[in-house]
Amino acid sequence: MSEALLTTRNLTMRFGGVTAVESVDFSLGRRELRCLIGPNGAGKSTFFKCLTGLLKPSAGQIYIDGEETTGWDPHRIASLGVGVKTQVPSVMDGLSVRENIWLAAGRVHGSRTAGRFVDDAIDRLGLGPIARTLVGQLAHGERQRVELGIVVAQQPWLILLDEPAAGLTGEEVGRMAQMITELSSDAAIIVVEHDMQFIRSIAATVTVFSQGRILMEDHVDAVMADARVRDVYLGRKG
Amino acid sequence: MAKADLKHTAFVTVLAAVALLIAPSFLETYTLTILVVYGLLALSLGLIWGFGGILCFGQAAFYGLGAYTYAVAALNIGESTIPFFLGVLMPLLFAALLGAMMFYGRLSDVYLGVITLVVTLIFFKFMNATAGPEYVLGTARLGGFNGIPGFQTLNVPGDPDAYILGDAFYYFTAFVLLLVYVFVRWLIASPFGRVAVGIRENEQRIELMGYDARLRKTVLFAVGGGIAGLAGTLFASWAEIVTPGLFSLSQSAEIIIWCIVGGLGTLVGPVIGAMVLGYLKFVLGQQSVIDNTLILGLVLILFVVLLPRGIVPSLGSAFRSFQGAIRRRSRKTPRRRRRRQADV
Amino acid sequence: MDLATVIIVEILYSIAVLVLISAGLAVVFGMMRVINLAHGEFMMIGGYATIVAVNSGINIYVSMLLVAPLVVGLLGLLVERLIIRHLYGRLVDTMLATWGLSLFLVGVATMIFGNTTTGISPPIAGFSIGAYQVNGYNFFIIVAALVLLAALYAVLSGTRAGLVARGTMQRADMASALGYNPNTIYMVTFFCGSALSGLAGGILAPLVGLVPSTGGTYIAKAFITVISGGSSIIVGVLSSATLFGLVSQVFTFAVSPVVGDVALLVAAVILLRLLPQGITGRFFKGRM
Repeated sequence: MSEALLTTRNLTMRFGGVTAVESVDFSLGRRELRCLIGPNGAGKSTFFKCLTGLLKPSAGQIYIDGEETTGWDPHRIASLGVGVKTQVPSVMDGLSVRENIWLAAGRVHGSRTAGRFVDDAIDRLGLGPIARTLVGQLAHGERQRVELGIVVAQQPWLILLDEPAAGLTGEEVGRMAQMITELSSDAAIIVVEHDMQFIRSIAATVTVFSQGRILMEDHVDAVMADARVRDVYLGRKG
Repeated sequence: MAKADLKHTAFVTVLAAVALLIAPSFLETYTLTILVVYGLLALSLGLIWGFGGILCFGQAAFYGLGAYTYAVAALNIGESTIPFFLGVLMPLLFAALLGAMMFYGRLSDVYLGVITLVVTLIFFKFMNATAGPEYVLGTARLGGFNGIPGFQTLNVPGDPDAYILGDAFYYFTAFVLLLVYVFVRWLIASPFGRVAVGIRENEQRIELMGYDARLRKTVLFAVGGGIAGLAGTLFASWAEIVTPGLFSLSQSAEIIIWCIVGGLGTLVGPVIGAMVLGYLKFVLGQQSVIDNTLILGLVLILFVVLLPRGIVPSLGSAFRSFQGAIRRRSRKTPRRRRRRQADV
Repeated sequence: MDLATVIIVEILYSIAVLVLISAGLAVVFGMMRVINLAHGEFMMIGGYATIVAVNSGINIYVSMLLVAPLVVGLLGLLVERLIIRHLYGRLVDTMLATWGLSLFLVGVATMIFGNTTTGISPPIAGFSIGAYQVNGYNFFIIVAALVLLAALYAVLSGTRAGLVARGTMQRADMASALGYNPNTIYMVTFFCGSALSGLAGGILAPLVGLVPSTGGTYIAKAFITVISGGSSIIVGVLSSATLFGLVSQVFTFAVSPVVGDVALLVAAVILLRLLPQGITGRFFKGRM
């Protein structure tokens, strides 16, 4: 138990009559990089939202760093040191890139010292040339990077990323993979992703979801070689 | 950023102070006073709507509550200092309570509109129904639709016989407006204000950063309520009577119209909108050919459909693009830089 | 026993009034996600149309059941073309623009009819139940509300237009996917909603002393009933009208009409607080 940074026990989420996540026992070690995959409707995004507090699970428990966070509001979970990137870039369109990231850094570091961390995050993500641009005017890939910048500036020790590579160009995907690998030296990361190529490039352990349950958990190569996974996921995707 | 903010605030404050000082040579101070009070009221909604994204359909509730609190307290106490502060404190606390109820309940825009509207109506109906002698607070009868007259107006603190009237009252009101403006600018520039703007833009993201949006919205809403209450307090002292009309729907509508016309996301905009439209109302009130409400309604429709950003931001961006055009002409290779629209 | 009968009639009556004043707003809101804050003024104009028609010698039932809806319906059509059309999908802006419209119409009515009370007498005489005097017209209102609900149900479930309408309610792009012009649908919807407002204004005209600002007393109640009601026009309006009608009448009997009104408003606040995601909360998912 003490090894794990994040555990769920019996986590269940029902919507009306539909059970999207069913009794999931999940565990993530410190500084581990983990990918969640599964076909559409497998429950990975719902599971993800339960972890971030955007959804309150119907049953079961979530523990983050030894604390039970089941049913907590998102801001309390985030305050622990958890950075979240949502599926559709969730950024503040009416503010500049710098202001977006400043708000994230200000929460953790206080407004006096935030500036340094903002500059650092902007450098790391190569956002310098557009730092003063309104986020609403940016292209999709740039917005994805801004949101990652927000997460980086929080200096979280647990990072949850929902489809970070979605909608990115080939070159951008490569940069995103590199970024994630870098981040994983300081923090545990969970990535929800469709793109197997992308998952391979970050060479992670993979948890496969199917029909609300965990189907298997192994290294990406083993998962891709597995017949069951091919059936539910790759096979169906054609 | 902070330096530019400071410069901007100082510039606007000095400009406004000069304007407010020379205004009495064009208009009676009696009329000017109420225009300044309107400006203050508009500022309260301009803050919570323009910078917090909270559209309150019932800002009049806090305005009226401030006015009634002052009137009742002044009748009971007979000296204006404590009533003055109560007139700010009561609406502030009430707004905090109402805000907490709404924001912790995670009510969305439309519900917020309904509830604030309904609360204003409750006040309106209740105050209208208090004509009977059983509705007494201390020595003050609420008086139903006739309202409460004859209370102590503003006096020099500690000396109930030294009334602050006429020109002196105008300068005092103008000073209060400037003071509140500086305070609000400071609030917006502070980390609290930046987060509030973040909430307006994307509440979920702010929550995922670890900020408690509900608490912050409640605080902002309460501050707005307090400023509206301050405006109500000044109004009571100006009008020397408070009536249920303060809580009316058309009063709420007017405040919203001021903000829309002046421009949201700015502070100067709503104040100017309130003063210009307040003056227009005053002028229109002197003729009887065209109905006053008709004009107000028309103004609101036209602005929402044609100029939804309001006067000040539109002027601002027109000015900037004009500036940009000049700069482009004077320099061969302009650095292309997209700027964010400044908060006036 | 007589008292009980009277109380039941009064409660049914107040529910019926809420249904009548909310129907027009509910249709427009349910179909178009537009909240028409000039709804009360539409009713006020329906009232004036009825009174003017009656005074010029037209039969009172024709006036309120035909003239008022037609006049207000046409007005609605004009408003839709001139204002609402530009603001689709901008919920808050439509609310503000129609609030402006509401003030504008109050101003126009004041200029035409003056700020004095006008009215017509109810066409049905009162009678007594035991020792209590009952307003005969109240029964007409109850019947009218029932007929209105039945008609709405029949149209929505039984006709082709109703099917398209229900499709549009579920998904706005549904209609255009089926090859119907959404522009036309919105126009027709707004006409129907406005006509319903006019009808309500006409039917209620004999009960109120009409002044240009009468609309203000309707809009809040209609607004609350519709918003609390929810996605289904008929069930939503009926359920919230029942709740609020019951609450306000009980308090009116127990204390006074003003307290009844206040109780209705307080009930609305509590209801919305208890159902924060609410019945309508589902509406705005994804769009707000």
